[in-house]
Amino acid sequence: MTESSAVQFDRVSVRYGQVTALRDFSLDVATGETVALLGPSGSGKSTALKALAGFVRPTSGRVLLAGQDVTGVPPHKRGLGVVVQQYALFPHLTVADNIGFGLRARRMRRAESARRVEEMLELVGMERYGRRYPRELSGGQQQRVAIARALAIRPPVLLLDEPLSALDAQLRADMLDELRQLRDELPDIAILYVTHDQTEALTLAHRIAVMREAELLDLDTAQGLYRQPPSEFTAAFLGGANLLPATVRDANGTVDVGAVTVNAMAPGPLVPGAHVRLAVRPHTIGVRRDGPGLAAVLTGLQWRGANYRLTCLIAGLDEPGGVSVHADVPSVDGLPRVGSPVRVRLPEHGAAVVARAGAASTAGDAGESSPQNLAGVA
Amino acid sequence: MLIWSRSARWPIWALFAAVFLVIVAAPLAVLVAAALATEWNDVLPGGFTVAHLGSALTGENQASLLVSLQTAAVAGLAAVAVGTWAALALAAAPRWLRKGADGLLHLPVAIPSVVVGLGLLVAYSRPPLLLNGTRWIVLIAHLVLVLSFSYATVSSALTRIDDSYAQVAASLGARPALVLWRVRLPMLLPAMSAAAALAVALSMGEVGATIMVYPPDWRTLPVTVFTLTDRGRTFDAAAATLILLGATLVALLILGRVSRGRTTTGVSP
Repeated sequence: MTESSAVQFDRVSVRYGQVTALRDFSLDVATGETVALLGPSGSGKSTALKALAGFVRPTSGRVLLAGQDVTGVPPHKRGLGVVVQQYALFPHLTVADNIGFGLRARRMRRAESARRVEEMLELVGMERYGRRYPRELSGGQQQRVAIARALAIRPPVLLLDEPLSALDAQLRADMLDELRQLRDELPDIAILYVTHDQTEALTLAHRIAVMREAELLDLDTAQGLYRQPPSEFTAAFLGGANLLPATVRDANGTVDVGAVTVNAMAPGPLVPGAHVRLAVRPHTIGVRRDGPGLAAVLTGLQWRGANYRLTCLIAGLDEPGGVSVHADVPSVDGLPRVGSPVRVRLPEHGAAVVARAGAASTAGDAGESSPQNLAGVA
Repeated sequence: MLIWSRSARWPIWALFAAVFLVIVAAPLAVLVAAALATEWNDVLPGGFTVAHLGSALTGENQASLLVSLQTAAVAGLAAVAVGTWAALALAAAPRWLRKGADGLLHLPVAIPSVVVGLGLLVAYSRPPLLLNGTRWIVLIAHLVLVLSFSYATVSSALTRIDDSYAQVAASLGARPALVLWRVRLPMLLPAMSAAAALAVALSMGEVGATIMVYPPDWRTLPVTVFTLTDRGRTFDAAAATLILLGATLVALLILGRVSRGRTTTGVSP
């Protein structure tokens, strides 16, 4: 426990009947820090947020706010700002009354409350919309009002539960920018941000807590997790890395992938001869018609506007059926047709050795995952 | 519309018109005609008079109309209040209790109203709950019969309202009572007014249970209509029915206007 912890989860578990929604979850969030809880649906991230807000009661463990145990304290006495997925703006109240709701609940004087509402409307750029009703607003505007309403009570902690998931792609990108600005304008607030979207987590969070199957799997800075993913799951979930079977050549991180030698980043000194997985990001892989590299077959090609996503099947590599990898390339000039042989070039630097096994489940899934072990790391 | 071709639509419309005429329009037309007739011995009624309508609005009949309106208002209000309360309470109750109470609250729909009337007579004819012979037993009978419908209306609306509204309100510092008053009830208001309309309409027309339990000083208009018909005073009965129909429509229109006004402008303080 640190003195400046705004939020502390201390071995929190939540069970609904037979189902465990959150298991032994521990996390500290410092004042001024933004932590993203990132994971697929059902990973327990929203349950963690609900336990903090007081919407569900932990089966075991403690929740602390600024060092105070609030595990049994009802939500209305916790003083947290909460923004939920569908915003939950009160449809029968105007925008101004929505934002002033918490102030009225706290019996703030009318004049002061009106001033605070104005201030909040200004903060989110909605000065002219105070008299409107929520149904008269667009999705992005509703989102701003929901944030203004949560911030109006000046909470020490702001909880955001998938706040951008109801918006379309373009608006989501714009709102992400706005959220980042807002985060920088609120240096005294701890933010817990629940999302299944890696871009949101990487953009907003100082640290990311990757969750899987009701448990906290990995916790590190956004850059740390991206560059040196501690587990196969995180490597694949955060940035969709390819996972290639490799053999350690020396302790410094030189590994062999088939006939190709790569200088990879390693979490620690490696054991020569050990079998490990190499996490390689799709945008760092090159695909050519011929030349050096791993022999493969081009099995798929998708145009994605800014780039092309290629799928290549690398034969061998000690995997029955070969290993399928994704590569994002800016152009397909000079590449043969789908079904033809190609050469896959791994980056000389930037790939990372993943020490811990785990079922990778996204695009980066390297086929059947063979048993991995910590023995790769000395 | 499932049928697209113009030629196929005509027979469908004709069939609909025939069914509507026989089942809805014709009885209504005959009712209006009978209410305004001096005699009816031929195919068409003979003579025109407003005397029946006049008598339906005076004396005992007028008293019956007022009794019906008061009964509907009291039973409707009580049904909405109790139904909403039950829906809110059961939404937070454990599953077994919710299922059991839900079945119990729907029971009056399944059993005939005469059975409800008889049950109340048996139950309230002895001290300490001696309500037989008072207006209260009529009000209770109406409440029991319309409560199911108002409960069902409100509780189905409640399941469509996400929990997150109440949760967010609580996170903003609102105590449970304030969450109820400022968030949950206002959001349920459209369903509550629909429930009230349904309850009033049902109560205005109720006769099966009422006829079993009503005391002489609390006779509802449908019972009066029944009695008049029984005595062979068909024209007076028709006139009283027309008044009943009109009064119910006016009551529903007023209720609809009130609720629409509340829901479109919001209930902003």
